[in-house]
Amino acid sequence: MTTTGHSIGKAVPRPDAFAKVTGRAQYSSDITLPRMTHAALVRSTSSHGRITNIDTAQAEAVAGVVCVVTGRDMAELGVVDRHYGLTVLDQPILSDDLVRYSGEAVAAVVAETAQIAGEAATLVEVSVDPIEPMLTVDQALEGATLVHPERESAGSDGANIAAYYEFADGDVEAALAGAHYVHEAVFRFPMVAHYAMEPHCCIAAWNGTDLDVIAGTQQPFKVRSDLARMFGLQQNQVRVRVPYVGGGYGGKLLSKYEPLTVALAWKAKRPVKLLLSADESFRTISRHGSVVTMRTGVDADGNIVARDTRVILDTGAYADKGPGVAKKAAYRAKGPYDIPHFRSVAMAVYTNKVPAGAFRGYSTPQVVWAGESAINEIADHLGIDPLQYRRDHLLERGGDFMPSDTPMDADLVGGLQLAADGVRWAVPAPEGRGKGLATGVKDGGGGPSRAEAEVRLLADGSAEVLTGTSEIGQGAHAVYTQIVAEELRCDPARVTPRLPDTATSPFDHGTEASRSTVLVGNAVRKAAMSVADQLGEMVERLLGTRRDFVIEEHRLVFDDGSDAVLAELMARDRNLPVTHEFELGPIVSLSYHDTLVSGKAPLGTPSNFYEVGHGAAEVDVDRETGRVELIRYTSVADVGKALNPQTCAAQDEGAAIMAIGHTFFEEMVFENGELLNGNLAEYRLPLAADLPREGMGVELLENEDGPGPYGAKGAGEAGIISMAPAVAEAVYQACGVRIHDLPLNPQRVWRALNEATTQPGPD
Amino acid sequence: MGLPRFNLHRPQTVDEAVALLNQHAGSAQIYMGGTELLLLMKRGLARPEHLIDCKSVAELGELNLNGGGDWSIGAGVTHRRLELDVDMARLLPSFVELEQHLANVRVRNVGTLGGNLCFAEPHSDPATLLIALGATAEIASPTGRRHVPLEDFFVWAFTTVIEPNEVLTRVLIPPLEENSSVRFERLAFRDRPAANLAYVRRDDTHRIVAGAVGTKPQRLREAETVAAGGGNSAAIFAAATAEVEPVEDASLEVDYKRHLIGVLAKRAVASV
Ligand SMILES: Cc1cc2nc3c(=O)[nH]c(=O)nc-3n(C[C@H](O)[C@H](O)[C@H](O)COP(=O)(O)OP(=O)(O)OC[C@H]3O[C@@H](n4cnc5c(N)ncnc54)[C@H](O)[C@@H]3O)c2cc1C
Repeated sequence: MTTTGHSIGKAVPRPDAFAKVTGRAQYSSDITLPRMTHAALVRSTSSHGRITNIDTAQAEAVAGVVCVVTGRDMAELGVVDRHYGLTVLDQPILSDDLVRYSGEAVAAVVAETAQIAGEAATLVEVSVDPIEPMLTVDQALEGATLVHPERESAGSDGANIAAYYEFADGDVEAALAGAHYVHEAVFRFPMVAHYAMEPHCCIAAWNGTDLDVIAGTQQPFKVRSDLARMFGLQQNQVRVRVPYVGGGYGGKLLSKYEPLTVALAWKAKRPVKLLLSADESFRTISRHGSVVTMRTGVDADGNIVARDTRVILDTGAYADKGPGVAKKAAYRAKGPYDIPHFRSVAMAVYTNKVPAGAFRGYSTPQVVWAGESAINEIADHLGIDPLQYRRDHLLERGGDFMPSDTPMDADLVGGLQLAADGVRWAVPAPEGRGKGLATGVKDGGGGPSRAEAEVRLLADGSAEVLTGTSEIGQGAHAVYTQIVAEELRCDPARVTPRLPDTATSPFDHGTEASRSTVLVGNAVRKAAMSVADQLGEMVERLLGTRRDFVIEEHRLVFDDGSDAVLAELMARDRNLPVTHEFELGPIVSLSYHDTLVSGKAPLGTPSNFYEVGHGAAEVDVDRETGRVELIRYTSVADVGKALNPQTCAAQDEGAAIMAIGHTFFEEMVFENGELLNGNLAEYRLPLAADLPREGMGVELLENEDGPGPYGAKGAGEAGIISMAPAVAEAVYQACGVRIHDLPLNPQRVWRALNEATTQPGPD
Repeated sequence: MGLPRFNLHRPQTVDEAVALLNQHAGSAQIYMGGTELLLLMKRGLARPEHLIDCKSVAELGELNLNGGGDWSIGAGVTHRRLELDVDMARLLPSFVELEQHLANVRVRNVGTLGGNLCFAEPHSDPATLLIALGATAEIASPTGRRHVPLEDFFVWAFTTVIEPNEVLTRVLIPPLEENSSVRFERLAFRDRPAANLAYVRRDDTHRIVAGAVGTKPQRLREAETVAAGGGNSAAIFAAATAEVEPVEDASLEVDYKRHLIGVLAKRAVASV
């Protein structure tokens, strides 16, 4: 039995840190294969239309061009199924009939250099017969035209619905009708970009009938399965390797450009690299813009009796993860309160815009923006301090987040209090300033999934940990080395994590939903414990008694201070002469962790844990210009146990900084379906200067109450959830205006202030 | 996409640069810090066949405070040099402060004053202040040098009076009298300003210039008159908002820009 403290809970340096800060770490984009060619894409400038012709002759004539590929090539190339996605397989490798958004790839040029490919791509002429584009969800629901005419609308609420979900309990209409006060509002959240620093990149090479793919993906095993299905291969013919990935945030889940790159390599008969520009990644995937209509009813004592929510998510031209995002939006809309009567409807609606998919928080920021703003406004209406109101009404530990799901596993009130303390809640804000707070909860860990891990202790006392987790900058691999070190009682620096390679790595569902530390971490821990057990048993066999020990370099050091060389012990145990050390091989264990499945749980799998993010803000509002300045912000993440407090806090801080974007200024702006600001010169991302003037506080709540190793819960998404409603409340406290549309940019705040002064006030 | 192909020339004198421009008229561009030009080229919005790199032209790099208190700033002087110049900090602190807030340090390290003015991107900070200071542009053309008041230099967004075969050589700022005051106000919600405004008072003359909201900097003559007459804040605000001519862009609307200029005018005049 080990106790924590050897390496768990310590700010152990990350194994990838040095290579990354010295520029030596390899990303997909750094890799070159022999005879490799380069691809460039031709993107549609039309938002919606039927392709009548793609003239590739000029591009093909350019010296150095290997081939040009369009949707028409797919049949000839023997593609078995050209469509991909998750639950809805609606995205073609390259469309040969409809274009569904401006920016959609419709052809590709493969050439000797990226330069030639890029130049030649500008010579491909795409002719499109325009069809009226559906540019807003309202327009799409009316359905003058259909984005996917071959598909039936998934709901009766209108046309172009890709997916529709509803969760309900009790009688919401009756409860609202009988409520003492009903708060009703419509909340808008902008479509925003992931902007991972490394754009999407994929390299594909055919070796005979086997396929070798190197990609910056968050989900290599999903990509493997897609490629096998689409190209008529066995899964064991497809190898997907994932070097370091320069950020994901959900934008590199599922297949993105891997199927296309494979098709290009097939036609080119050479390895092909497709490396996007940042501008192209803006045109690949986004976070769902949303409209949330919410009614919340309270009784005379302020208890919430009913909540009715309708979430409309703009899923863009292809479903991608949209259906799952909609499902979770419906699931999470009720919020962390005990509400007897609720109905939550969410739908993902196709439009002729950049597709939307998974994005850190996975629709939680959208529904919490509505839900927590409503709570703040209700508290205000009742004349109760919003912190006190939540103290009285937030779910207690063990309460139902949703009926028949895992009971609330967190101390919500305790966490929120930490956030409030961070902005000195009890001290009134000076004139022109205001404070606000919010609590956001999402079910964490994702749906049903398997996570596997292999741990190898080598004869020299070093160790390897193999998983299918993509290292996307989040530091999961650092945590795995710490878990192994903890169980083997060795130095974490002597444990090397291996990057995913579907040919050799244990299986994993994917790097998403804050599941790696918890689910893969559990598998890692089991494997490490098994290796430790095997080692302990060997010691017992050789020494005749069970002994405690630590591993120091190549030796075992026993509790009485004596030591022995590991290789010598292993050789003795196996009756090998010590001179044959290299024959020894490792002590190995492969373990797995499966999520629970329960017929009763509304989602099929009970929530693994709850990912909880509290936020408290203090802002200053310049009433003349509408500019809102963040003075202080405290984010509290309930992480159960911070296996590495430094990387854990950095994850939460990063998430909160990302939230500054959609709270204050980020927004993808479209005109006639064309993305106007899809480049880094015009798209406004959070900068160091946007950080709170008096500092950003991150508090980790560690009650060791999670299902992961050592009581850990997942982390990394919580910090992005609560900032917007906390800031909006602070703005209200500072200047008296309520704003329901994000981002809270100066122009919008100024307009709201203007309206408030030109119209008679509410009180 | 990477940069398209181009030929690079490195003249050593202004005359050589002008000759090269003349020779390749229409297909050549001066290339200084490249902070604007290379971005355009990468995005496929400009495809010059010839880049004339004038960073080795000594004359363009000269920054002089002349005996009479007037300044001569070479077009190739970087923002960073202006930001760190000790004489500038002493005599024209507003300009230094402007430079401290311009873009970010990477842009300031390589971006030049000439590049800023010649590109005529409407969100220029220096353009606004320099016009209020009564600065003049010196331009070298195949037939010699000419001088244009900076107030007349900008024609429209991304368009100046400079011909394709001309080079901006320097900017001349006339001396400031002892008792004059200079204010520069700027509001930025992203790298580039959303609105800026300069107010220069020398003896009885008042100059107020609004920038970043229209297609080019604009003198606010009504507001100047109000300021000269000692008008109060409300009057300055009213005059400035009435006469400024903003244009809508992807993120900011006209009425809001108008309002911002009013606020900045009021603040600038009040602070003097
Ligand atoms: C992210 C970012 C933020 C910015 N923020 C601000 C800001 O806050 N405020 C602000 O005022 N500006 C801002 N700028 C603009 C910045 O000041 C300019 O990019 C810079 O000064 C341009 O100088 P350069 O030497 O890089 O020009 P280049 O890119 O080399 O050239 C720009 C253009 O001017 C022409 N040109 C250059 N020099 C001459 C010359 N001597 N004669 C004739 N033509 C010439 C070139 O041919 C080219 O067309 C920003 C720019 C960026 C990229």
